[in-house]
Amino acid sequence: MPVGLPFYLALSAVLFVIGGLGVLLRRDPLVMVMAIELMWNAANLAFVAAARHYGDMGGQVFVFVVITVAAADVAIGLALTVLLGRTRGTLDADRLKWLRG
Amino acid sequence: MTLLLPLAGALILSLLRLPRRVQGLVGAGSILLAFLSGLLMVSSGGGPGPYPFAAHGALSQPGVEVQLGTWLAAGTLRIPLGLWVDGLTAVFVLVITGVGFLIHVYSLGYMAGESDADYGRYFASMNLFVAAMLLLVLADSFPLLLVGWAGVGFTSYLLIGFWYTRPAAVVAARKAFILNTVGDVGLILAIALMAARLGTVDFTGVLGPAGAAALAAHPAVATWIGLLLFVAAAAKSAQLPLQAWLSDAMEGPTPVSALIHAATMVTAGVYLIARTQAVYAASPAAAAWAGDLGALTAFAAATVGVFSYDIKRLLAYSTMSQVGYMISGVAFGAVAAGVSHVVTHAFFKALLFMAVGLVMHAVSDERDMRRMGGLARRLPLARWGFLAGALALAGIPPFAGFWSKDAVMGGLLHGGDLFAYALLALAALLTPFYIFRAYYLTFGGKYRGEGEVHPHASRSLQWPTVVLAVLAVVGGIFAVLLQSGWGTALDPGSMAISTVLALIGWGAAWSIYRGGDIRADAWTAGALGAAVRSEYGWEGLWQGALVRPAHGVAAWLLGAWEGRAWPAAQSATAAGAAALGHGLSLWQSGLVRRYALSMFCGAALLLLWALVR
Amino acid sequence: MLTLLWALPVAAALAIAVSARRGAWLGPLASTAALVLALALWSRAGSLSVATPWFHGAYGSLISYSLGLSGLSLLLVVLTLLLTALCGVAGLRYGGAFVAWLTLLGGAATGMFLARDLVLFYVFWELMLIPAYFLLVGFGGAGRRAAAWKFLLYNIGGSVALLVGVAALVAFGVTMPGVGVGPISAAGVPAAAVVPVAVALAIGFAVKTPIWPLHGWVADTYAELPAPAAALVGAVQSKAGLYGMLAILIPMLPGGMTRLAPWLIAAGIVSALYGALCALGARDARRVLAYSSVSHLGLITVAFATLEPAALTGGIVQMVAHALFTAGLFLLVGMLEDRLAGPVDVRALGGFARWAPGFAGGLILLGMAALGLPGLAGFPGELLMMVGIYRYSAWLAVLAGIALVLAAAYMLRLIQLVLHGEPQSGAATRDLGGGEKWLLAPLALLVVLIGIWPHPIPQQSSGAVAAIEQLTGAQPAAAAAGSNQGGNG
Repeated sequence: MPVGLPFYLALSAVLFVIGGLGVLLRRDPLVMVMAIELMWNAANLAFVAAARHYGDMGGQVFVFVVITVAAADVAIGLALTVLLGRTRGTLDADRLKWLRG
Repeated sequence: MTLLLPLAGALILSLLRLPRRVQGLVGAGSILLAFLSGLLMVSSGGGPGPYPFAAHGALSQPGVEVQLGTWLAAGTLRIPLGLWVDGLTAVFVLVITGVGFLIHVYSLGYMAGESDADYGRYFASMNLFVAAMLLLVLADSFPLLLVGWAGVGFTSYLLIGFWYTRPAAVVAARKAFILNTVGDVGLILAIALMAARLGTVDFTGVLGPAGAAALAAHPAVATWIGLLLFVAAAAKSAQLPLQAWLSDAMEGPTPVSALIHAATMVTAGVYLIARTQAVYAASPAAAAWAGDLGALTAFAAATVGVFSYDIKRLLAYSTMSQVGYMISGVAFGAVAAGVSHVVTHAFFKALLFMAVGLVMHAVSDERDMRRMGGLARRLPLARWGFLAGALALAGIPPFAGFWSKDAVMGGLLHGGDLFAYALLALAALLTPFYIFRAYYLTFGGKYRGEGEVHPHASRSLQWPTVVLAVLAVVGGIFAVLLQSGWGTALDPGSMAISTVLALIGWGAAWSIYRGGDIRADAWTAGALGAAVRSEYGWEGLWQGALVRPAHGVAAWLLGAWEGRAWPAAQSATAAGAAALGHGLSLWQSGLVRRYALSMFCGAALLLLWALVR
Repeated sequence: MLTLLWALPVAAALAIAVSARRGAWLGPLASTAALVLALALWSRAGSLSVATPWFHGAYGSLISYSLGLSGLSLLLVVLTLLLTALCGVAGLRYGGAFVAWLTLLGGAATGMFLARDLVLFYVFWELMLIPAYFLLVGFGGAGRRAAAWKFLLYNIGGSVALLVGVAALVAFGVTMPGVGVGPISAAGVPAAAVVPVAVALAIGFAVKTPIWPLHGWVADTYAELPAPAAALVGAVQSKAGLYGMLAILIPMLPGGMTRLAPWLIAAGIVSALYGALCALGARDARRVLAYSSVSHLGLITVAFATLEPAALTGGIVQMVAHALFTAGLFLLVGMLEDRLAGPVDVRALGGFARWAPGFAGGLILLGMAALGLPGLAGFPGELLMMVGIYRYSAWLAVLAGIALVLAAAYMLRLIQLVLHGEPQSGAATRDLGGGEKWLLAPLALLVVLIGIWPHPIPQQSSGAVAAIEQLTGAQPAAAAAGSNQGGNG
């Protein structure tokens, strides 16, 4: 049976949810960054699949934008994680709560 | 014109600092000039003798009305600024300025012991008073009358509290002013009624033919107006139930009592009721209330006078009583009689006060009769003056008081309320009794006081007393002329009854007190006497029912509401806001994962909403 | 031209601030100049206006910078400028900053009375708050912080309500040409919104006036402000609320006003009696005056709410009179406080009449005016108000009468406790100096003049009253009665 758009979107959704749960349930900032990366890529998958299905190359172009932004996001995220680990000594998101309201 | 002179006098005296003699000259002189211009005004108006004045009903034709413009106008209501002169006005103007002048001259000597500043202040206040009283009787509309009315109240406040370092004087002045304010409010409400129902508040409108017709058509309105006017008159003339201030007002200097509380201010109420005859003619109910309360005051005050020891207070109660005669008379339509009693009363009451002033000056301001006595030989002028005044007050013919007092009683006997007549007759019995009791106790017997008797009377004290004594004796002529000019005939029957009553009263006093022995007075001591002297507990009633509750409520409002309730409400609001903020701030926990969760939830909700739409 | 009236004082305030506080005399000078200008414009009231489109608001409304001078606003502008000048002179001893804030307050108030656009009105209304707050915090007495908090919270709360109302009116396309100057277009307000908008506006005005139960800020504020500031705030700011009622609430929402009237009357009469009773018991002379103000203004509110022509006219006259004698009394109390170096506790004083006859005369004159003695300024307005109130309800008039008697009681208490009796506090005090007498003289003179000849005031405001009458459907104003109607407001 040919693999149609719904399957790709379903996969994308599953990846997104996994990533989302990863952000919500994991406490290590590094793992949270990885989960966010997973969410970005889930979106990328959805873009590519839709571009292929509708014949609109705009989706594939947009993937490049997303990859760029995701890279920047990871760069900053990892930098923050390293600095936090160095200065605060802990890598537990629940303990990193000095920016209270 | 007449009005402006005393006013100018008041202004000059209050604003400039002048040497003492000039102050006195300005003070008394302005009143003299006012009197002369008053005479001029009268003679150029309706001629001497019968004045153009229609008793009982519409005052449709004033002698002269001078319109000076509009005082205030709002919507359809226009309050004019003008003067109104007719027979009634003329009588009052002459009495105010004439007797006022004599009292001013008397004051020159009486107040000689005051400092220069106080001397000036005294005459400034007195002049202002005369100006206000003249405005009152010369006004051509009720609001303007009210200006004069309140001015009289204000200046009497200044004068009663003249010696303001004395707590008793301060309290008395305040009491007088507040009771007068109640009267003022009554007059304001009456004006409001007139404006609302009659559409006008000037004399031509309310008391003229149009107004009289409107009043006759709506007797309920007339009744309310009449009652409200009586409230005002009662306050000013010290009648029940607003009479409490007059006896305390004796804290002021004696000439003040002579002017304000004998001749002028207390008669303002009489003027008001006399002026508004149209209202009382249209409402027998209001007339009955006014007349009966006046008569009741006449009687009750006389009873208190019988038991009094303080000679000035005794004269105050006497004034209350005599004004009750006047009010009763004019309320029941015996206007000529009532007004003629104003004239004669001015003569003899001022005379009595002057005589008492002479006595007080001689015995270091002692006022208790129990510490007087035997002054007949030391103070002959005071003695004869007091005697003349007493004879006039008692209503013994042919002295002045008889002619007018009897006219009032005669008017009531034939035209008015027999209940009122009975009260007045009883008072006519008591009046000679109390005044001659005072005479004998003060001047007869032996001196019972502690200090020395220093008779010293300058000429300024003497000759007004003499003039008034003469007037008290022969002043009946004025009364008779007035009455005949205004169409009231003499009534021999009533005159006979009055004479008998007066003689009985005098006789009783003579038999008990003629020796001037204080022991004859022992019956006034004791519980009954004390109760009567306290005005039958009136002061206690007043304090308990009104004054203390008012202060109590004030303290409660300040304490429980301003002090606790409102701050509590404010704090609660503030605390509520703070609590809200605190509650909301719990969301700002700093936990990244929680923030992420809320982001997800929000996004999910938005997605859901977009899908549903 | 009209802009100068408010711009001069404001500019002077800025100039003082810029000149390192040395030019304090600029404040009263500018106010006096503006006053002279206003008087010169007296005869041209109603025919003067300025209108410049400012910006377009939402819903197609146009917000313009427009000023106009009607009879009613002329009276208030003259009053404000006069009092700003006098209080500025009185405040010179507090330094340049004080005078600057004071003058700014006066200028803002003037602008408010001149405004012919709702948003502009609101801008000036808010502008008045700032100097008042800084005067309170910077120069006030011991309890100034608490007083300032209360002042701010109440007034800002009221302003928020007012903003809601103003925004709603602007959204519905209502303009504000000024009472008696031109037609008032209030047709755009949908029927359902009339009452809520009216309530919002009423709350805003009620806080400023103040009316019970929103009066909680008044006692502390008047007690803590320095005397010249208290005089200006008490005399002028309170008129803002009343003017708002006359110029905005009644003309634009006559239906709403009729619905609100019983509430306003109830609140007003409670204010009158509550204020009078609190004044009777108060210990600090400033608080006596503060509660007295609440009482007087409550009565004026009642008068306005009855919508009777006599009451409206009387209320306007009383507004002018109240400003004059309130300012005078606060200035006088301030002079006494200077001599005593502290607040005036009336229960601890007495006997000042002996050493300070000038002060005594002033206090008696102004105090008598405050209690409405006929012959002085407080009476004509009072009489007309009573006539109008009586027409509305006889019992209400009786209650008002009780308030009058209470006024006599508390004023006399103040006078007697301070002036009469034996002196208790020991030190002799000097009487009013020449400068102080000259300061009070214009107020005293006006108080007497208005008492003797009040006619010009209702003449000026008759246009406003007539316009209101037409709008609220009461009997048409006295076009036929032949009294002098300027026609130009």
